[in-house]
Amino acid sequence: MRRVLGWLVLLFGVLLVAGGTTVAVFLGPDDRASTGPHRLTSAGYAILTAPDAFQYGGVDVELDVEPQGRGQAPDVFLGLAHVVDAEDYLGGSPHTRIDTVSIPWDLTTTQVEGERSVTTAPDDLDWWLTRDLGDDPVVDFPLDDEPVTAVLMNVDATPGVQADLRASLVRPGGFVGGIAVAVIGVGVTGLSRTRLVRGDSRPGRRRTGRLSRRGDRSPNSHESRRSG
Amino acid sequence: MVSAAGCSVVDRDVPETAGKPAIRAAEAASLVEQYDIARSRADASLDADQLAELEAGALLRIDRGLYFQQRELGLATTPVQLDQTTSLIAGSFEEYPLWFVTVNKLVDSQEQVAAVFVRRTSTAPWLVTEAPRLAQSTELGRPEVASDGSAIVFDPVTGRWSDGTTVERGFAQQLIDDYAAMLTDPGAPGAEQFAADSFVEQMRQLAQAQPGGVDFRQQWQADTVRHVVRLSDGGVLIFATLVRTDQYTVQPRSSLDFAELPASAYLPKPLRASARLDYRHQVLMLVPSSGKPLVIGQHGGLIGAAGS
Repeated sequence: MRRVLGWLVLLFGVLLVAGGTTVAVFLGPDDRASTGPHRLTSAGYAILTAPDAFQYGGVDVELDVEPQGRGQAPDVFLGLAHVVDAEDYLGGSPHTRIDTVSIPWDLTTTQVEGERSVTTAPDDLDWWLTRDLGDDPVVDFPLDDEPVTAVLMNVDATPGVQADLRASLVRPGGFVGGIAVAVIGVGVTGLSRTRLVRGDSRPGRRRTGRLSRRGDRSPNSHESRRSG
Repeated sequence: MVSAAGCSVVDRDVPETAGKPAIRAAEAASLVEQYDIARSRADASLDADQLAELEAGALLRIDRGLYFQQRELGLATTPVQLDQTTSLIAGSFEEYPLWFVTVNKLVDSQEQVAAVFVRRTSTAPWLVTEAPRLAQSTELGRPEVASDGSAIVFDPVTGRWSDGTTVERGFAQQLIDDYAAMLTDPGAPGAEQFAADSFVEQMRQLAQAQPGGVDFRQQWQADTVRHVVRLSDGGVLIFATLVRTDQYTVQPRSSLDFAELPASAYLPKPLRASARLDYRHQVLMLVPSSGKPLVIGQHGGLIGAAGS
């Protein structure tokens, strides 16, 4: 039983080392995993994320976009909205929806058809949870369970959106935390290994075993000696 | 758990349908303040265009009518000034329109106002659409709230409360329809379900105080009910607009004169044949958990008149 427990503790320690190291390597000393720039293009009025596009929770997301296009690219607007607001604002209009985002980088998108025109510039609206605009807008937000959507549009709400996106998952203290977990894992692994090795070669245990075996045999030996 | 480049992170649990709170308390306070300032400015100049940037629907028609009468008759104006907000009732909505209610005392008045702010679309401004006045001593009761703190409100289109429970879809509309029918005819079917409230008494007195030499007929109809709140004690608050039409038929050799009455702003000369006066009354009906429904607040007025 003790032996099984020892192996389990060893396994736990190895997992801690592996997990902590992976997190530290993944995030790096700046506590972020970045990807991009990636080109995003839509013939519609906006590129937006589905509420559950980012499946990772407990981290912050930072989005950084740079408008692209032929000639002088228009400034772009980048905002985060509750899905109720975004659906009312852009529902029925042609746009591109990002359904899933996987890091390092994999997108699945849907081109949403629509007839409705978007006539109100995004910056004229007051319900954005966070927003930025210009030639290099940046927004960051926590990924919690709120149904939010990130929206990228031209500032003048004209159709035809093209921009390069850089996305980062940020976990403040994640690098140090990962290293700390890995160090704890090393400690747990070392301790459990030592106990397992020592447990196998402990003289007291062997003696007990021998005594026990001897004890099993000794009456017979005694008898044989007596009878002899 | 999902894997992100080998890093295990917490899986998000985004609900498929999640309502958005209509407004936060700080935002509501800011809106009320903006409304108060702009309304005072509009009242000072009796500017109906400014008013249209603040109000909509029947309320705008009532207050615009009031501006017209004050301007035509040279009546003194008393600006509507809101004092501190004593209550905020804000539900959670899965789609637009959004709405919420603030209850504010009125400055230099023995009344308070329950103002319904509505945002029809995500690109539209917040506008006040209903504003029944209540006596200062009247208490609305405590709204029932969900776990996220939002008030439980009713969607008359789906027949669903915001906490997912359902009731008969037209229950609030039916009550207001019955109330309007009772105002037209005290013996109408369903009239007995209501308490004798001060609004009914006031309207009965007005209907009876008509000049001689005319045949008078008053009719009431209910507008579509849109805003209903559930109270924590099981009661319900219904905001409703009533359409009132006063019809006068002048008897031979008689005349009808509205001198010194608001209607004279539209009909300044004595009439020989007939007149029709159109009113809107916004009422707040309390349906108590036990007892008869009654109107606990109202705001109304003449919105137009025609005659010959």
